[in-house]
Amino acid sequence: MDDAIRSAFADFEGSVPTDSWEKISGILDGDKKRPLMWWWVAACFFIVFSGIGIFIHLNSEKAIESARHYSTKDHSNRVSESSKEIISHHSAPINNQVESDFNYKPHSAQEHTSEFVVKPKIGDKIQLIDSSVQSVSINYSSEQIGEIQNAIDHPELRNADEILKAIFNASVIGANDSYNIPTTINNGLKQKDSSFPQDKGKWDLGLSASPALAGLMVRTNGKLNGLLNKNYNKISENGESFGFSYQVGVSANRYITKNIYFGFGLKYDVVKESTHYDYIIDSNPEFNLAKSKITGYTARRPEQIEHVQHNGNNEYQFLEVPLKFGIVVPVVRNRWDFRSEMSLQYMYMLNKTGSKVDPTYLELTDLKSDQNYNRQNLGTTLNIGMYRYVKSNLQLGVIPYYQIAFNSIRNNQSVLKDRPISYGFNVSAVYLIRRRLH
Amino acid sequence: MSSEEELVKQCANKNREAQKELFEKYASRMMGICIRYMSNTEDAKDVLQDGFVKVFMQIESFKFKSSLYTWMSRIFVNLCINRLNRTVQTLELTQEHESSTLNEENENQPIWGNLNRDQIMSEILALPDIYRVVINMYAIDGLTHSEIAKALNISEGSSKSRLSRARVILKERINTLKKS
Repeated sequence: MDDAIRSAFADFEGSVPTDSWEKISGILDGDKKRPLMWWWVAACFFIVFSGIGIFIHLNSEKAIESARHYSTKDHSNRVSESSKEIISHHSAPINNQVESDFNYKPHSAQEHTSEFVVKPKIGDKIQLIDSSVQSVSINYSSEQIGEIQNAIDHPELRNADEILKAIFNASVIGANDSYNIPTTINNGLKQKDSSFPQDKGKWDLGLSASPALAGLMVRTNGKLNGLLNKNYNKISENGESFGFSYQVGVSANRYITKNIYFGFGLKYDVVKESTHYDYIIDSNPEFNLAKSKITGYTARRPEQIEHVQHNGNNEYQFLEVPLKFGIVVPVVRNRWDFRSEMSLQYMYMLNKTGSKVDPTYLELTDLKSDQNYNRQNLGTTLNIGMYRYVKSNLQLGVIPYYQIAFNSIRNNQSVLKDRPISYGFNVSAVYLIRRRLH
Repeated sequence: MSSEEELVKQCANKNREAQKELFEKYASRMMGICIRYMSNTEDAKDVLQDGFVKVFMQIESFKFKSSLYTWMSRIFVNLCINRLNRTVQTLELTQEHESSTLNEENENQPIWGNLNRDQIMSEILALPDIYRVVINMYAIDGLTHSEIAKALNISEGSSKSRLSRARVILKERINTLKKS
């Protein structure tokens, strides 16, 4: 009978699933594809947003120079022929020096009076040249005049772009009060020129709390790859997931220009990893110690087979000192600022608690007593988002952030390399010192 | 690749093309082993995958003392057994099973009749794990009772007992099939 069976099945073949090789190839590639991850995406975001910020900043500087040439020779309480010329040349330069992207639109009901609607688009490039404007005089309400004065008084808004946005921000211009824009702008610029150096020294103080989703990015240690138990990956994938974590911190930023700052801070960071293990240890690995690799597995006797069931949270606590670099771009004056901030931080592991599966033997090990961990690490954090002014010197932001450690928290004796990562929302309050001069 | 030796050498150097060539050359036969041992196709697919990963990770240790097929088939058989062992209850042989060793039938007696291989295969696959594994290991893969006992963590006597019981069950089922 045995011979009959043997002869019948000696060349027995099975149908191989079409995707088998792709899966095997993927496993053999191992962790090679993981470095592509979010770190690079985050870095690209930072570069792009920082570039936009610098571009806006540089264009604002050009606009200041242009606005300084703006002058007036005459003004009256009506729309002059010159101002009509501006309107008529809206879509084409008046001469080589003149370019206006303002969307000037006469108020339909009062086209030939002193009232009209001016609605610049956010981000418009504004250049006003004296040769093209002989006189512009517009009636403003008290409130709008206050806005204009406010804009001129604020050192961080001293570029023409910001001032003109302030001036033209109202949808309908009032009838009673009169205000001479060019003179005011010129006076304002002259007045504030002398105070410019003082603006460089301003500081922000920040307080932040960040609920986050955090965990460990696991890779194998290339030198000890052979000691990874064949069943570890599956156990890890099924039994470990990101946990709800948090960070709290304080920071101080010093502005080197009105848009760019450097800062430092102190953070308490808790990275939590959720574990829910349910697996069977049915074999023991056999080793070739000279080559640091597992050569095979010996099946355990039935009474030695171990069923591991464990649910819990692993917690890694860090004290962090971030060094920060950021760019602030006002988006809506007195309302919204855009911030792009990147920090490099020193991370010190204060404590670790919980249980984690051993990558070689598959048994649960107590994290607290596991010595194969590094205390110190470096990491980076990226914050990009909008901050809202709730007071003249207080901003609140709820902005997304992404953080990752550069190195593994395990040392070189470990089979695995674990890097903590977290992402979530940074709820921040920023107190602006000497930012507002009300 | 010109020869199997060169193929193995390239695989040991992590040459992905060589690994793919080796996979394509042996995948069907290894899948055959997996199907023979495992009771369902999904498990067989998993073992096939794990087996080739293990082959590529350990191929440096292959010294051509046996054929590559034999070396690989041992890896796959061991993986199948390990996987079956995870289901702890399959290892627990009841007293009824242990004591059910029957008389050895006449080994030379023709038993297949007109049955085709697929029918016989389905009957072997329908055997309980403990019997299917032993009959596969002994009758098809040519392992001795000593080797089977070591692999399954059982005594040689248990190995013989299971093989005997497997034959009886198989014979009964084949006879039923013939009659029907």
